Amino acid sequence: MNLTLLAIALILLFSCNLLIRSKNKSYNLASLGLFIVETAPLILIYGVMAGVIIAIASFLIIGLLTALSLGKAK
Amino acid sequence: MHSWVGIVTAILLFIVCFTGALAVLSRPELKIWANPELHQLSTLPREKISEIINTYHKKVPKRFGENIHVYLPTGHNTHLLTILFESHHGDENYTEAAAYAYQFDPRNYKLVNEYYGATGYFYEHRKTDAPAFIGHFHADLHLGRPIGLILTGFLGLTLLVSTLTGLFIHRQFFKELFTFRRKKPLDIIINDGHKIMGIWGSLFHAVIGFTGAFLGLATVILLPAAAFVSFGGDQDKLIEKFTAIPEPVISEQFQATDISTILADAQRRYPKAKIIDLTIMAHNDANAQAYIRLIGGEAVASQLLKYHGSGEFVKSMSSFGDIPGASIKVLELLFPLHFGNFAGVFVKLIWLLLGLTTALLPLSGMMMWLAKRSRGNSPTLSRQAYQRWNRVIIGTCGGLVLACAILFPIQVVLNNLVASTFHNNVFAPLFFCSWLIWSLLAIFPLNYHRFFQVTLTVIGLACCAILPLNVMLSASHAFRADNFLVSIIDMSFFVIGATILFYAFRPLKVRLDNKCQQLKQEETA
Repeated sequence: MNLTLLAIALILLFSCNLLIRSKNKSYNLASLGLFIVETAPLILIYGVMAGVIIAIASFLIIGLLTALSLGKAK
Repeated sequence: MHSWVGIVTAILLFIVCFTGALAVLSRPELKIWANPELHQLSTLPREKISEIINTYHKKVPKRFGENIHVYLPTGHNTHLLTILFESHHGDENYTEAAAYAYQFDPRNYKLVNEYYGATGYFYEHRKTDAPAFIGHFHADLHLGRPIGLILTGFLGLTLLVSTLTGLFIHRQFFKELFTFRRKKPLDIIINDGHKIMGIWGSLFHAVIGFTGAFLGLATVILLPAAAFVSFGGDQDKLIEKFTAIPEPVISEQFQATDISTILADAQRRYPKAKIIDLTIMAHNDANAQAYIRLIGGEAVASQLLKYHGSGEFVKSMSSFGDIPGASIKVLELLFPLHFGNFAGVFVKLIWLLLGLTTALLPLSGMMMWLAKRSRGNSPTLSRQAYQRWNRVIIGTCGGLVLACAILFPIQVVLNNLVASTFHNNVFAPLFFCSWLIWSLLAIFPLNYHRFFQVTLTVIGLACCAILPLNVMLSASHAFRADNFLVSIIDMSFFVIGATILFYAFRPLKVRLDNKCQQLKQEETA
C-alpha cells in the first residue's frame, strides 16, 4: 500500500515538474495545484509534518533530475 | 562575495559535504552492513533484555544500579547489546563518572566484552567501523573538539552565505530552472550544472548550512553564550534545565522494575518507530523511572517516553525534556532536518542525492572560476597554473572520495580476518595516508585528465571489490545474508563501482575512436 502511494506521489511530482518546465503560464500555475495533490499520499504514509517536508525535498530532487535529463522546453 | 567565499572554502566545503552525504546512510543502514552481528536481527528480545539487566545488576556495586543505560543493537549506537551500569559520581577508584559495561552478541546473547572504568573512556573507545569513522570525520574532521566543531560550524555558515548570495545573483532563477545544455562544451555543462544544482537545491543547502552551523557551534559558542545571558554563566544549570532525565530520588523500598512491559508498551504505542536505547533510573526501587528513546514513526524529531518502574506510561516528550514553547519545537527539528533520519530509507536517499549536489556545488564553482581566468585574450591564469589547480582539486577532493571508498572493502577484510579489538587502529591511518598520498600526487606534473581517470578507476575498483570480497570471505553476504538491506548494499556498491569504471574509461574510448576516425580520414585522403 505504502509503495503504491509512494509511486503515485513520485509520478505526480514528475508531472508537476513537467508542468513547471512548460512555457505555458497556465500550466505553470496548474503545477502548484498538482504539488498540493501530490503532498496528500506522502502525508498518508509519513504523517503531516514529515509528509510535507518529504514532499518539498522530493520535489526539489525530481525537479533537478528533470532539468538534468530533459533540459529547457523548446 | 559569492566567488570569494566559495574559492576560499571550496575544498573544505566539498570535504564536509561529501562525507556528510555518506554519513546520512551511516546509521543504521551502513552500520548494519558493516557489522555481521546485526545482519539477522528482527525482533526486540524484551524478556531476554530484562533477564540480563536483572542478572548483571546483582554483580555490580549498589551505587552503579542508580543509572542503567541499555543500548539496543539497532545500528544506531553500538553493534552489540550494551548494558552500562553508571555511577555519575564515580567510586573509590574514580573521581569522575565510572561504569561497569557488559556487551553481548545480539545473535546468541553471549557475553563478549566486559569493562570497568571511566564512562568517558568507554564511549571514546567503542569499536568503530567504516561508516561510523566517516560520520565522525564529517562532524569534526577528526580535529577533536572544540576546534573541529567550530570549523565545521563555520563551514555551515559559509554554505548558508554562498546559498543566499547565489540566489541573489540569480534573481531571475525561475527562467533558469531547466537551463541545462548537455551537448555543449564541458565549461558550459559545468556552468549550467552549477546553476541548476544551486537553484533547485537552494532550500536544502540553506537548511543544511543553518542546521550544520547550529550543530557545530551550539556546544562551543552558543551554549556558553546562552548560559552567560540566562544563567549568570552557569553552564551546568543550563544543561540541567534542558536535560530530560533528572537524577532519581532513591526510596530504598524494593519494587521490581518491569522492563519487559515498558518495552512492549512503547512498541505498541509507536509501532512504526524504532527503540534506540533505554535508560533506567533507580532500578528495582519504588521510585524507579525508565526513559525510552524512539526514532522514526510519524514524529519527525526523536521522542523520549517516560515510564514509572511499575510499567505505567507517564508521558512522551522531546530529547530536551518537557519544555513548552515554539522555540523548543524548532530546536528539535534541527537534528532530523540535518541528518534526514526521520522517515526511513526513502528520505535518506533524497538527503543523500541532495547532499551530493551540495558537495558538487563548491567544486563546480571552483572549476568555473579557474576556467574563467584561463580563457580569453589576456588570461590571468597560465596554462600550467590551470593544470596545477586541476591536479590539486583532483588530488584533494578525488583523494577524499578514494580514501572513503577504500574503507569499505577494508571493512570486509577486517571483519573476516582481523580480531575486532584491532579494528579501531586501522581506519584512521589508512584513510589519512591514502588521502595524503593522493593529494601529494598533485605536485607531480601529471596530465590532469589521466590523473582523474586513474582516480576514478581506483574508486571504481574499490567499490566493485566489496561484493566479491564479501562472497569469498564472509558467511553473511549479498546472496546469503537473509537480510534485504545487506544484499541491497552489497549490490549497490558493485553497481556504483561499475558505473564509475564505465565513466573512467569512456573518455579514453572516445579519444581512441576519434583517433581511429582521424587515421581513416587520412588513409582515405
